[in-house]
Amino acid sequence: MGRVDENLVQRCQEGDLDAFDQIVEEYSQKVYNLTYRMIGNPADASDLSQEVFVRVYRSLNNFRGESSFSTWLYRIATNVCLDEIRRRNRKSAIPLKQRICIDDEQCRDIPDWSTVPETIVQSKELQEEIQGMINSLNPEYRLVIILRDIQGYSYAEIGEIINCSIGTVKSRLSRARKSLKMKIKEYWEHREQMLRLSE
Amino acid sequence: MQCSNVHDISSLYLDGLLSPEQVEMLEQHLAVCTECCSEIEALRHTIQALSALQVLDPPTEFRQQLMERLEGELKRKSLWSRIVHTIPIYRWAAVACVALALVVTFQQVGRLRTLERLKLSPADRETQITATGEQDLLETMRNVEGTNQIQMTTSVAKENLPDGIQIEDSGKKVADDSSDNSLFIDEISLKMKETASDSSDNLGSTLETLNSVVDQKVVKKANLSLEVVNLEQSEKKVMKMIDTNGARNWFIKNSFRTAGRQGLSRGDYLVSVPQQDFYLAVDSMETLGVLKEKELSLEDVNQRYTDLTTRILNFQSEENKLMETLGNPRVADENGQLQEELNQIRQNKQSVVQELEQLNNYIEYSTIQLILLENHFSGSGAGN
Repeated sequence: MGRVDENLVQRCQEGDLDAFDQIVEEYSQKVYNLTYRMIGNPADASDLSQEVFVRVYRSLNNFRGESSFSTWLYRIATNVCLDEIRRRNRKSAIPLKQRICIDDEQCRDIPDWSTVPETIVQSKELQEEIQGMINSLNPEYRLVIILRDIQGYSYAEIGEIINCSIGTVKSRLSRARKSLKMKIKEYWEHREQMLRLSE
Repeated sequence: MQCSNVHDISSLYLDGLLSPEQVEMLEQHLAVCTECCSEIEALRHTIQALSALQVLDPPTEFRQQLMERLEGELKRKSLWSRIVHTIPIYRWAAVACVALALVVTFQQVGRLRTLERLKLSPADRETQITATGEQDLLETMRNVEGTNQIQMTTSVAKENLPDGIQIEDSGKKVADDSSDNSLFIDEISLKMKETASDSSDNLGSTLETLNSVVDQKVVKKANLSLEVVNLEQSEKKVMKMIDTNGARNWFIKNSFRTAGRQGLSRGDYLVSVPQQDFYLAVDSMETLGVLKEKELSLEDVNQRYTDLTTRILNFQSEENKLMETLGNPRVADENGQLQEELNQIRQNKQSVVQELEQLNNYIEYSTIQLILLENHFSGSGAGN
């Protein structure tokens, strides 16, 4: 934990609300992005992020510095998200679009997902689709992929945040990425086919 | 290297977490296998697409809303200063709550008795107390003489009431102890009614806070060490006391005697009594010998209680949703997995329910650790 965090946390534990405001300022963006990517809509992400900080505030006296403050905070954030997802109707996940049945002729010459240009990989259209695909993953896979590939945490940090071994992080991440890769591939092929049909 | 091995380690390869030997073997394979090469590129693109996702800012009003919410919580915590300094009309209530807090905090016997025991004369069975400050209330409490059951009605001078606010009823109640006419404040509940729609938020919040304060969840414990001349006789008195109060649910959870030097012994007794009898039991036990050590402790478990209750409600809500889903024919093929999930939720709920029951038990029943130390030269002879 950084020195700034230590001082801030101590001041918060002493009831200094301004100090807590600084913590909110420092972490709100990351927490909001985590909740948004986990839940998939901005209004709920905002409510959940508020819930995260309220829980952090109420639990500050239980923080004893055994892990870094940020790890502790993200652990609360991930728990809030997982609780919320479990609470929701599990059938509300966005279904994958079904691939349209077409003949072999039409399947030919569709550019493979592995060969598309980077500009398309980063296009807004694809980003929106990817959010839907993330939401269709199992919550545990969703969490590791967000923490690693979107928020950039190391395997060890993720292990600390979600309270599991590095081995578990590795296997979950590998499966999550493969699952997402398949979904993107299906989407890509579907998209290309639709474009051809409309021509 | 086989293609299946490549699939196993491709994710680690892209994160640079393979050993140099593994990397070399993998790259040798990729040089000759276009299919694996394509798979790894697709995975690389997937990771790129994820890392390219836009970083979003929380809504502009996010921090302000959050801080307002937290300030509200903080205000509740500083209830006393708000009541006493900013809302004089409720000062008497604050004083009553302070008195309760003092009862459980102060260890001095004299102070405890002053605050806990109200002795009223029969004529004072329905006594109206008008108190405008701590001194008034404490003075009134000291001057009232006892009976075995009272209904204490508290009223506030009309001119002190803000427009539109009525105090409908207040004050009760105290458990009776017919054996010695002592009375113990168990709780003070306040029922207040807002009759005007334009009452300030400030007041509404205060009422809410006040209600939460008077409904405290606390665990009371005591440690008593007494010197007695004859352990056997004193132990009999302890047993008799517990037997006599058996109907009130006093009981001994554990007891043992150890022999000391020069034939002197020590007795340890773990006594459990309903919370409302806690101070009565402590006082009664004190009379059995010469008090050497007394420690009263009060643990505030409100937060824990609320957390457990909330968790149970959450589990219940999850359970209900899963039950609904289970009844849906469209998910018939997933019934096995759903049932497994449902069982897990029920197990979790059951475990939290047990925890709450245990906590409730600790709240409802206080424990007193009584130690009797035999000392033939003990000067008091109190109770011996």
